[in-house]
Parts: sequence; C-alpha cells; structure tokens
Amino acid sequence: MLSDDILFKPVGDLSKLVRARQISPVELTRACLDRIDRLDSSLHAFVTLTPDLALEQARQAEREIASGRDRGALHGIPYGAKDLVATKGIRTTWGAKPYEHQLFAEDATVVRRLRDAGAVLVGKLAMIELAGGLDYARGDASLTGAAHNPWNLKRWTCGSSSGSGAAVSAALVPFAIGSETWGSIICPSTYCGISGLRPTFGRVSRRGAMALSWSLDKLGPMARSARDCEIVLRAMEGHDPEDQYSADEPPGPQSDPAAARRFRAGFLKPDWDKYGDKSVRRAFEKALADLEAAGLRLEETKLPDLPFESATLAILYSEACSAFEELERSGGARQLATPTAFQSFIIARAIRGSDLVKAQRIRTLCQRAMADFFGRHDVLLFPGDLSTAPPWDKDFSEGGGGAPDPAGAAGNLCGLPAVAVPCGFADDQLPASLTIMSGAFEEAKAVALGRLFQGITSWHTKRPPLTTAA
Amino acid sequence: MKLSRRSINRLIFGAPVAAAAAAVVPSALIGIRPAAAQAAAEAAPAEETKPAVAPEPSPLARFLSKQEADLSSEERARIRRKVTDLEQSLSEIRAFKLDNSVPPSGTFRALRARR
Repeated sequence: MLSDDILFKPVGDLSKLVRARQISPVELTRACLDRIDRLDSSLHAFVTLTPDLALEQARQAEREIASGRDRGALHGIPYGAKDLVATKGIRTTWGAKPYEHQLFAEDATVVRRLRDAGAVLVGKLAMIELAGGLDYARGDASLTGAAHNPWNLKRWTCGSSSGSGAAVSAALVPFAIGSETWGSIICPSTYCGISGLRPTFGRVSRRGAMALSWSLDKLGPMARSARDCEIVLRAMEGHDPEDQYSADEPPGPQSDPAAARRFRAGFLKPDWDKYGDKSVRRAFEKALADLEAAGLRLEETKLPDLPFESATLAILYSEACSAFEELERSGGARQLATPTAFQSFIIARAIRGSDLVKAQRIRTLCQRAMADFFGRHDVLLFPGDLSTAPPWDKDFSEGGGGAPDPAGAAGNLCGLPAVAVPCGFADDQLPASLTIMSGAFEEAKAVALGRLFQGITSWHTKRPPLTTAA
Repeated sequence: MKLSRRSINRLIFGAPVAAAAAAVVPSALIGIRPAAAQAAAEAAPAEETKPAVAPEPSPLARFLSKQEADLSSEERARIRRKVTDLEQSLSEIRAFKLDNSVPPSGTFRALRARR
C-alpha cells in the first residue's frame, strides 16, 4: 500500500510518477479508497463511493500506460465529483432528500471529458442540498448531514461544494470537481485550506449538471495547488453545443508565474473595522506583502459603483425558483433539510418580470464596467473570506462573521474567473485564503499569480491535523 | 451557492445594503445610482455607531412567517430577514436609473431550422 504522503502530492507530481510507471494507478486508487475508508466517517465528504468503477478505470489506465498510450496529465489520477454532476448508473442526489435515488442514463459532459482524459472516479461528493439555491441556514442542510472541516471537525467546510473541499483537504483524492453559482468553489477552498478555480462562465460545459441558475452556474476544479487546478481545467474545458451557454473559445494559454511579477495588480481593502477577524486580516496583508517582496506592484483599488449584489440576488432567486418549480408543485421541497426552503418560492414571487429584466440590464452595465476594470488591471486580489469556518451545527447568523461580498457578486454576475489559494492561518488555526480574480477567459493570469504566490510560500503544502493523527 | 452574507449582516449590524456597498465603491461609472440609495449610503456612517436594530418586517414577511405553525421563532425570523433582504435588493434595482439603450445581458438569437 502506498503511504499517505503520496496522497498529499500535487496532481502534477503524481502524474509524473504514474506516467513514469513509478506508481501504479491501481495502487494509487486503492490508497485513496483505503484513506476514505479510514477517515470519511469523520468527515462525511462522500455521498456515494464507486470502488468497482474506480478500480476498473485504474486498471484500464494501467494497461494503457504500460502499452505506451498517454492520455495526458490526469491519466490514472483519482478524483471525486460533486454530487450534482450526472454519472451514468450511479445515483446523483443533488444533496437533497427528494432526489435521493435519482439515476441518469448518461454521464455529464465534464465526467465524460475526465474519463477521456484517463481520470479515475472514486465517488460522488457531498454538497449542500440543491447547492443552497432554496436557502439554508446551517452546514448540515444536506442529505448526508454536514461535511466536517479536516482542520477542525467541529467546524464547517463551507458550501455548497462541501465534500469537494473536505475530500481534497484531507487528501482523500488529489482533486475534486465543485460548482459555483455564488461562492461555492471559492468559500470551501478557503475554509478547507486548498486551492480552487472558478472558471469563466461558459468555459466548462454544464450539460448533465444540476441547474440552479443557468446564467450563473460554473463547474470548476478544487485541488492542492493553483497549478493543479489549471491541469484539471485543461481536461474539463471546451465548447459543448449541448450546453446553450457554452463559450466557443479556444483554451487559454498556460500560466506563466514569472510573467505574473509584471502584472498590474489591484487589491481591495475590506472594512476590517466593521467585519471579519483580525488574524485573517493579518494573513491577507502578509500575503500582499509577500507578493510585493517578490516584485509584484500592488495598488489599492475599488470596484465600480454598481449594485452587483442586488442584481445577482434577483437573478439567482428567479432562476433557482424556476429551476425547482416542480419541487414546489409536488410538495417535494418540504422534504428538504431546511424547513424554510419552501417559502423561497413564495418570497420569489415578489420579483416582477420587469425587475428581472432590469437586473439583467444592470448586469450589462456591470459586465462593461468589469471589462473596463480588467483593461486597467490584470488581476484583483481580495480575501476569500473575512472570517474562518464557523461551527457546522449552528445557525450562521449566530456567528457574527457575515460581511458583504461585492467582489464575489461582481465575479459571478459577470462570469469572471477566480482562484483561491491558502495564505495562512487565523488565531483559531483555521485557514485563510487570498482570492485572485481576472478578466473573462483570462484564467491563466489568476493561476499565474497563484503559482507565483505558491512558489514563495508553503501554505498550500500544510496538512490538516486530522490526517497526521490518523 | 454559499450562505447569504447580507442576511447575516443585516441581522447583526442592521446596516443597509447600500451602506455595505458604499464601503467598497467609488462614484458611478455608467449607470446612475438612485438618490435614495445614495442617501442611504451617505447616512450609513452615522448608523454604524448605533446599536443593531432589526428592520420592520414587511406585510409579506409577516404573512410568510405566520404560515408555518411548525417553524421555530428563529426560522420565522429568518424568513422575515430573507424577505427584507430581497425587498431591499428590489428597491435598489427599481430605483437604479438606466438609459433606454442598455439591453438585458442575455442574448436572444434566432435558431436556424434543424434539418
């Protein structure tokens, strides 16, 4: 059996070992399954394990590599997929009781692409029910209860890609697929101390993925480093005519960390006097100082003066309540773990048709303004969150850490990519992150700066205590 | 979707959305923020020093929170906050001035015949 140390290696390193036949995909997959068996009862990261499929895919990868066939950097590398992407013949629960036994006849495009790239699916990952689209107030608003944070089992992972965050953080898998509508890749990556990449809207096909908000949903990778996220994105991306919103764009260039030193970088200065944790502030400001010391020229900047959050909220509410209309009609929404979820449908009726159109018109202005913004800046830096992970079993409103999220709203409303990278620890020994946003289809810039940062710091290599104790 | 930070924010701090946004943004670029929102933003610093005050629930919020006999008082309060949150967003959207030339962001395209 391979040691746990192997499982903490980044995808790039594992890939070299697998392709050089120094480790076997079957051994690697068995090591993941064994680690899941030992640790997941504490983490609740997985909804469904697929050991038979995983070992079959691993054996195929092993045979192919032995015969000289090379499918690329993910060949023989295990992963987990958030349980909102369809997997043929394997239940896809969307994290919600009404869909507990849901089966699809086909794989989602992203699952097919990863299979074609030789990746090995070890299981489906836990998530907040319906990706949080009908509201939730606690971390255990999920078919499988709360995913627990590997850095402190009493704390939450954030959502809605909860299992993806926990599984990568605890090295149960080298990478995972998450999704973001508003914060669901960046926040779990932040709370779990891993790297996460929210791609440009349209970069990755959503065919076969649960729709929460057709004009906001994105699928993206969560992994041990910014470079790993880029490797996985390469396998996931590409135009898909079956997804109406899929962008017909060529793949971006590979990131260049050296070029990142010449970036025009802006950073947002949150109102730390009003919100957040002082030790998170320290970590964020130290990260900025480290980047400046590495030669990056940073300047404080501000977002355009536009109602990003209000427009995002109106669009999201409208699309989510339409997406799950049948759940309201059938009464299925009353089976959800969040008792107040059902009322979301009634609340959404306060939105007039003209409000939604107006929100979409405001979105046009927001897109233009952010396009101009990223004409002046290569990247925008801000904290992934102003606080650390709250307890998973408490109502979020009890925490007191809530802060406005204009950058998150701007990024998601305008479909812009972002990378979250760990940037230290707060006083409670929980991770904090630096988030790097860039212009549309310029993932390479955000990744490049993430790689530069991870080249001068070692936060992304830290291991949660759960794993060292096990 | 992650949790609604703004709902939490309102509960804890009682600060309007515009106040929160004003903390991080400069003057308008293309669209024009409504006078009411601007005024709220300008009034915000004074409000910050006041103790947290829950906003008056709207008729819709009161109606909704009475619908479910099996909801706890916390859950009813959450519904009230959600409604307040959405209504404030809608107020901001409705008051936002836009030129006639600004179209919605979604692009409608005619589909060619499928043969």
